[in-house]
Amino acid sequence: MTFVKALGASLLRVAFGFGLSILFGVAIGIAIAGSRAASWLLSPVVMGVQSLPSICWLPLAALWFQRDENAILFVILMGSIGSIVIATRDGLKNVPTTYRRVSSTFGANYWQRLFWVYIPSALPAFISGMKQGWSFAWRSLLAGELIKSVVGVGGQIEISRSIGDYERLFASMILVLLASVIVDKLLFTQLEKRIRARWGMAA
Amino acid sequence: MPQLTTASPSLETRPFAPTHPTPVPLAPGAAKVELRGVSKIYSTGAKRFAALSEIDLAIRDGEFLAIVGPSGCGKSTLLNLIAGFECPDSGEVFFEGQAVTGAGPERLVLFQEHGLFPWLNVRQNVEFGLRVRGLSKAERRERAEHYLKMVHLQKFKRSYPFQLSGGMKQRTAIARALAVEPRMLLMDEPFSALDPRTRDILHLELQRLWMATRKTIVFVTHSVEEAVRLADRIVVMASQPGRIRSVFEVALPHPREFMDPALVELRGAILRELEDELGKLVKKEGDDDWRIEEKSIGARARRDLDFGLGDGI
Repeated sequence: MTFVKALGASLLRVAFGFGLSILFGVAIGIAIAGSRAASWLLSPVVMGVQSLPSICWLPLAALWFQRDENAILFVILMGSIGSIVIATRDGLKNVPTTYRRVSSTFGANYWQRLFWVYIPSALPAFISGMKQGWSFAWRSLLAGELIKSVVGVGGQIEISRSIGDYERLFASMILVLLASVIVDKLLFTQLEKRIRARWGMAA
Repeated sequence: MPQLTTASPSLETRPFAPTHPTPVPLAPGAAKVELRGVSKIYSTGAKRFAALSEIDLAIRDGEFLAIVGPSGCGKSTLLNLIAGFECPDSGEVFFEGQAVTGAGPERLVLFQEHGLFPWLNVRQNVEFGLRVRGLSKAERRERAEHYLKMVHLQKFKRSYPFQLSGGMKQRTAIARALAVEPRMLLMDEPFSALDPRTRDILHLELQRLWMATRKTIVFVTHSVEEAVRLADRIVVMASQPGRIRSVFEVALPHPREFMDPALVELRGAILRELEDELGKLVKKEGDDDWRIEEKSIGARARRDLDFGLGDGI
């Protein structure tokens, strides 16, 4: 039963952290794609964050945040936001010229173009980036949970190690693997499939 | 036999000789679109390339104008300037008396790559322009269905673009364009990517739609055949630098009979105009020793073959 509780806690944590990452990442990605000034300002920062292994943020996060929960969330955010920003930016930058011209010849204003044309057009590329971001988020979560003692699958692994229960250790590892694969298959792959089917792209 | 009219009575041996080898005089206030002294220069590094040079053109309200020319003559650039996608480096572009500052639905453009949005189905694509305008869902639906009926695509309104053929996609694009009731249509080689039989069908369709709506249409194409089938007036462009070479008036009734010998004659006349363009193209795109023989394409009409055209034609 502790397994289920632990898994639940971990999934909640990573969902929240990843959700924040998407929120901020998409906003930053749109800004970078649209404005040269924003790109000049933010791109180096994002690149830096992306190249730093997310676990390196944990000591700092532990200092900034009172609660271990929030520190881990921060680590998840830092680990996955880079992929989201890059996916958003690339998707938007690669909107075909024809779509841009179609939207402007019909007289669409900036917001109409962004939400009705550019973002839908960028969606396939975005989904691919999101899958990558998810795997980074999951890794960041586990790194954080292994170090900080919180209720979660990482915690289970750590507890198993410390009491010498190696069966439990392996079971926890397999659980982690299964959880990640199931979410990927159920959520992201299905989403990608549906979008590609509608666009008529090869499966 | 269709009645042929010529603008100049002295040209009985060449019925479709160009009527305006010099710049078209601009009728004050009567033109839908005017270009005055328009030039467009592209520079890559140190090289400057004149895509368009000193273009003067007046487009009449309700006319079907074709712009024909070889690749690189600036015909797409000309369309982009009228559409508002680009600005001229010198000269001015006017639409209904006002200077053109950007793109807009009053001068709607149709593209060679139909530009349908793959995430929307046929009806939603046609509704796009109406959604931009802010029409209600019911109004949009009604209008979209009306225009889909006009292009005979009612049955496919729920299909997605990837399920349609090239011709169907272009018809959807036409319905999408007509739905916003633009004051002018700018078509940039819309049928160039389609097979010849589909093009035949679409040529008939376009004529039918034009006869029903009488929109001003500017149709850019590299196919002289297409231009003579569709247009009332044909602007022939030359390249290096891009400029108007001549303008042909085509006083034949719509819908045009594709096999009409008069069209063949007209095509021949235009191809003769474009003959030295071939030499330029060959020079630009091949080895220095490659030459095209003079008069090998667009040859003089065979007078000895009697098609029953009669005298003085």
